[in-house]
Amino acid sequence: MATTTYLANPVVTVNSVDLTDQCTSATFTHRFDQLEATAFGDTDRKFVKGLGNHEVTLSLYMSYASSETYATLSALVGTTTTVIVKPATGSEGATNPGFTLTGAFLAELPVINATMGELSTVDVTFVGGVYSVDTTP
Amino acid sequence: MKGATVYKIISPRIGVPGDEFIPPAGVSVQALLDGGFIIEVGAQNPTPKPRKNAKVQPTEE
Repeated sequence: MATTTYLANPVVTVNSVDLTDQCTSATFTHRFDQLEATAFGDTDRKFVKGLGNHEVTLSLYMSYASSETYATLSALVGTTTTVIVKPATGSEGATNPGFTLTGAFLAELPVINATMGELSTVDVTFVGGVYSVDTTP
Repeated sequence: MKGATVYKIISPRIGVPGDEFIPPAGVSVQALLDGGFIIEVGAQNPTPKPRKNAKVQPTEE
């Protein structure tokens, strides 16, 4: 049975800053635009690969302390950076690939998300950039 | 000619504090400086400091 359960192993790095201990969810999507290539004579739709359109969405605890979430992300809004997510700690390899988005754009940052009696969290999405997978130990 | 800028790690979230930080490709150094994760410790060939007695004396009119 092929399942993957994430407890505390994934490693999340944004702009070289290790935010693993602030992150509760990471979704890294490797995607391409789909361009329709269906023509007369076809009986089924056909698609070809367009531009890469990758994104990473992270759920993070918001902290305004030094070297924490806000300090990491506030200066990145409206700029591009590098985001790396890998399934487990330790060096990269075939079984622990370092999924990397270089030149990913951060369009917005919810600077406060406050609910009484709850820890503050924010969701941020980095879009665009060049996708690569590092499997070199 | 000014040399390459050298950065030092301040926050353990980046690496070992005190070590030199070599920015990887695509990383925003300005954001790391703004966030207090690293500091600039100068260039390898820094420009000379101005002389101490270089104050401009007021002129009498």
